[in-house]
Amino acid sequence: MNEQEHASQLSALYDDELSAARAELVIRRALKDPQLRETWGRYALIGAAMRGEPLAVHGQLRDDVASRVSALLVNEAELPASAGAMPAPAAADDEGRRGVFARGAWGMAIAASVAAVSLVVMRNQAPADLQPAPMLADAGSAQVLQPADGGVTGPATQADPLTGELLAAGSPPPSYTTPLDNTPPGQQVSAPLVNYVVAHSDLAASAVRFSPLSSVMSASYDLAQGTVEMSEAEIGAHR
Amino acid sequence: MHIADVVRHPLAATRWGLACVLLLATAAPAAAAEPADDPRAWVARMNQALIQRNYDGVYVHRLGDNRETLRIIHRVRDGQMSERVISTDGSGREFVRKGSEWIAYFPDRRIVVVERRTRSGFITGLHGLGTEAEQNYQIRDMEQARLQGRGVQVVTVKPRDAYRYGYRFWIDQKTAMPMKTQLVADNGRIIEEIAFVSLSLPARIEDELLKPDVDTTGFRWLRRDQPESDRAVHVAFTAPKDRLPPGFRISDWHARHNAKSGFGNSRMIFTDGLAWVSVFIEPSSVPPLPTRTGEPRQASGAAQLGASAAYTARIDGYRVTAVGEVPPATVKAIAESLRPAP
Repeated sequence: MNEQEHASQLSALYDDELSAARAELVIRRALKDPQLRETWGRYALIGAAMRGEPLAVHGQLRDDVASRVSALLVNEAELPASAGAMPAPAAADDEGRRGVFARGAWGMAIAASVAAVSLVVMRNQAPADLQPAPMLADAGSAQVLQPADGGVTGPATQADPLTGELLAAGSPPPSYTTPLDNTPPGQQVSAPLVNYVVAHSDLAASAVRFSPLSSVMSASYDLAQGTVEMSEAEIGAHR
Repeated sequence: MHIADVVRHPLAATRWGLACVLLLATAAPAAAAEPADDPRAWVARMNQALIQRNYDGVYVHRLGDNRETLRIIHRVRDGQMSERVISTDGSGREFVRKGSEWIAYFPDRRIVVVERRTRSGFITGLHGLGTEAEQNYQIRDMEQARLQGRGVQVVTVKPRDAYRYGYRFWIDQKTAMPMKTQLVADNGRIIEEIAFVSLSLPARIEDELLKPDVDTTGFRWLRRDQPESDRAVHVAFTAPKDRLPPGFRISDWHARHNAKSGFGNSRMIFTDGLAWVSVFIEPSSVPPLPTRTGEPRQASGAAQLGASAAYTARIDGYRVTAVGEVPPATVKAIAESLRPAP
């Protein structure tokens, strides 16, 4: 599993979209891998930002949050599995299995804590100089408008960017990226079909034209199929 | 902010987004001048805004249960459109368009794919509202709402039956940009959605912002050609109206002269005024390519790619594949409606 896949799994965990077994694996890996912990912290920030949570524009604050997220993970990882707040399953009579479950459950608690801490930190530490941008911020080009009501220091409830519905401040974070490959084996799409869909997309009344750029879309087929290798001369013309 | 920061640090992208939370500029004078209660006029303004305006925004693309966040930079200068789309999911994928040339960069797979397309940009509006479309869709009275703190006009285009999808647009009252767009099934299920979480409309976009931030050293460069299925199609097909789903008709077909055997049509296009379905025809003697794992593929049946449904049928020695942003039953009915012309 490469770094991107790890990140994707972490994101899925954050969105509570993994099975218990898979979640446990991801949590255990995150506990061992500083880079993944950093990614996790970043996801928490992004999730909050996507919901319009107050977020500092200073890298310092970002780093502080990331550090606290990492520190929390490290501290929590040092606790024995039996100290977890989540009880082991009563039916689990296999000690080893119980331990694994307990660590997984504890890990889930950590996940929730990380998310909560990240958001709380962001809410509470928004710097004083995080003021709404001026109505006309860029005299040279764009007019920069603030939201007509609210803004980055807005109320505790935020609009879900996807639904427009108001979310309570403590609502679970909406997903901003999810596991990509949900195409069952054996249902991969043929290369001619990909080419047909691409050709058709010039007509498509879809909201977004089909493109293999989207990992949401490209999960179900091989990007290289249905294509031809370009010559050096052609490549040179595109560089 | 340099674009490299956006690509390498999703947080930076979001911060950039927040810094200009819903930056909307140069309010469209036309929007204020036209009647505010005509949904058709709002759709027309939206189409125009998407074609004519520069914009730079971050949007969430939802497809079924999947979501992905992308940044789009769209520039129109001297009549030519340039566009750059950057995935913020960590893959580093980028997509750059100059005129009709579309180049997709996949750093995660060390591949660059070059395609040619003829029409407008990545995010589309809705074209074709008119008498024919209104026989198949109902344009609902507009509601006024607020989205991301902005006043928006909500336009709903509701299908009159289950053979087509509906559309919903949340159009910014000041700029006519679609803040949110949905493709919706007749039962209300959202097939596809894009929703801007930040958007600016700069008067000028520098060339630098449209350059990919991908080092392609050692990458494979691949070209995706348009289908050439007409190479051995010697039969003209037609689709009797009584076999087509209600409201659909043949809009166009591509036929090329074949010196040996006369004309054959390799691609047919069907429409109900708003939705479009392409039908590609190829000899069934041409075997479908194997799967990635080398297994044979099904020569016929249904498939789904993004919001596009597809169905392949075998008819008179030809493989007929219908593709469109319509329910699966519609592409199936259209594919199976084809018959060789008498």
